[in-house]
Amino acid sequence: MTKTDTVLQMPEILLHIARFLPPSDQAQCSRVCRRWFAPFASELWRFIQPDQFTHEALVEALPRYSSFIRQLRCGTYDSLQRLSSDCTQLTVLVAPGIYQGNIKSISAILERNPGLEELEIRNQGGLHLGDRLDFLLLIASKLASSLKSLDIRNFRMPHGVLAHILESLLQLESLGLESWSEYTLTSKSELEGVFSTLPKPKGGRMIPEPMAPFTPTEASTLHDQQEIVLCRSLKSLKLYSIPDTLETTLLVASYAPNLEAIFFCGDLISESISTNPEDPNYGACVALRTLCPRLNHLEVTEELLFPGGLLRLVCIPFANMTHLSYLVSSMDVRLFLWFLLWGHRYHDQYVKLYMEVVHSADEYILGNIYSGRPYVETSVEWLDTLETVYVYEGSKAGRPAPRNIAAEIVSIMSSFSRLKILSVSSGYVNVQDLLDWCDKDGANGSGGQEETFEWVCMNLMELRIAFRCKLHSKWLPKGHRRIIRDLNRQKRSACSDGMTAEEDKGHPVDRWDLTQLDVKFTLFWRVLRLLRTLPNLDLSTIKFE
Amino acid sequence: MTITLTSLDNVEFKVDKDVAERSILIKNMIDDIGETDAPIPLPNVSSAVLTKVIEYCEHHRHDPPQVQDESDDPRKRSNDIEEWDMKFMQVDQEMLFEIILAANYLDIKPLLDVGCKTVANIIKGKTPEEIRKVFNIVNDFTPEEEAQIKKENEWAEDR
Repeated sequence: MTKTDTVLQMPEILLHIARFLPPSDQAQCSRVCRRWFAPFASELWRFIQPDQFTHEALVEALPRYSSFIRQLRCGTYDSLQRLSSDCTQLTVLVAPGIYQGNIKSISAILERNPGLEELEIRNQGGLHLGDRLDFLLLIASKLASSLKSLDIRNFRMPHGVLAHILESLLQLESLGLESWSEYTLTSKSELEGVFSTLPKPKGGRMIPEPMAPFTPTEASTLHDQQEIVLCRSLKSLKLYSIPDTLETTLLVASYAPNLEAIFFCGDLISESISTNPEDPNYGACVALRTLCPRLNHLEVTEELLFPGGLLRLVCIPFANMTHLSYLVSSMDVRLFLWFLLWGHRYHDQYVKLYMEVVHSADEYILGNIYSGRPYVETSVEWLDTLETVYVYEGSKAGRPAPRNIAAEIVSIMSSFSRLKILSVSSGYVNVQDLLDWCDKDGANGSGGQEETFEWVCMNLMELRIAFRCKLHSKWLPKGHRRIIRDLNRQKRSACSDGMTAEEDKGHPVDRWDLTQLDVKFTLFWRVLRLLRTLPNLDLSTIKFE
Repeated sequence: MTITLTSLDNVEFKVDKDVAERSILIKNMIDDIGETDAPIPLPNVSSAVLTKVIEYCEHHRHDPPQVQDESDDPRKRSNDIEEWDMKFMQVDQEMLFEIILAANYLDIKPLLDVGCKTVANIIKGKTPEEIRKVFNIVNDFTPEEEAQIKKENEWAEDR
């Protein structure tokens, strides 16, 4: 027997080869011979995500291949009925929507896959409270030692269930809650009835007291209470459309002292949060900081809510915040700059700032906060850390015409010494204004001083902004009008010499256009010369329109 | 410090310790028995193959240790072979599989990866019949069985 034969019969080597092949080749290899079937098919079926093209074929073949599947990501309406009982290797399950008809089979899958690390479940509706409760308790008990990431959607449960889940899943690193709500059961006996089936968590309390909403003082003393089992591994919390966002956040935070990142989506600040210490919401934000001293990443996607909420929330002092992302609703792109330059009063360590701007007519708020001289107030400490700025414009709520933001761009580029990426999708930079701004110090109206202009952002690597050139004659540099006149004259004579055949065919040569192009070219060239003084900038990221 | 390795056909190879320790098997052996002048026998590797393997280890002696990256990257690439490795792997098929076998036995993961990537590149785009022909494999499926597997895995064919 040759070495080739030997190697090609070793399952571990065949498996290794299979890892380097795309699915189409894995499929071919699986029917080369019997020895090849398992290694190649198991690699092919390791990650399964049925879609509209493959769904039927996959479901049809499921019984024979169940044992190979490690990661199964289903759509809401997929069926798992054919998944056979030797499917025991799952590490990731994105379950289809749960309803009365499939809750038993999905429970069975959870039962036989105790190594599951990532689980996403959505309640499709129509389930009895008892079934919902059993299901969540099954997760809390069966997956307690393995589950690292849990995403629960659309569950309405009695108070105490979330706390029980947090007390049980002590390996959890990431928790996502969508449309989760808890309600208080009216009597203690009702509560006992619901929780009588609960297994006792290690060292945890048995029946949670019916809880009143958290108050800041309560929350900050929670850590001192001995009986709470803390979920120390939990680092990331995502909340989507939660009615009592701050309350739920505080509840989770009280179990997760090592929380580092929180993502809010929707429904957060439907009421405003003021910086008045009397305001319970403000108090809650302060309590959050006390509970999670490691919090350094906050992302808020706020849609069409009261804009004051935004301003006040971001002004709440989070000590370690280095990442802040904000979908700004009802805001002007200029507000972003206001934020950028004033926010340092409260946040002094930003590394990345990401904002999405959705326009609406609420510009009046700007009148109150935007002084008109946005680039004056700066703080050296804060400016030293900012590396990335993204401003994106959403497509919601009627988008006004893009604005010229040359002044803002120049002031950003002249303020932040560590800036590496500056990306603004809304608005554009009028190159004439840009050159005007950069020319001011040199007081040299004729231009041409670009190569000596000193930027502050010498580390800039990416600049993603549209540069436009709208000519107005006021700006044309000295002597330029004469050049244009000469050019036009030359062209006219050229046209008359060659007898313009094109004009006869109805394609008039646009003389003005050509000269405009010349001027544009000159201006763009000057901008490029200006930007070329930044040693690390990738010039290919710059877009001229 | 040099290490002496003895191949299947009793040829002795003297190599530097850091080169020999590219092989996790040898590294563990040295760690276990401590430094010794006694030659380490490698009864599964012929001198021709061992020469190749040592050539590889010498060229890669300063590579940083491989990061354990068994994580979630579902489809590893077979087309990211370094140029030197590509040339190194231009050998006849029998030698290619001998190198894979030796890399597997000696536990030299980067070499095993390069070998398997090379085989993967040979397989790519071929039909089962062509694959059998290249590697001289006998088809032990009945036509019905093969047809069924083909049908069950058809969904993957344009992926």
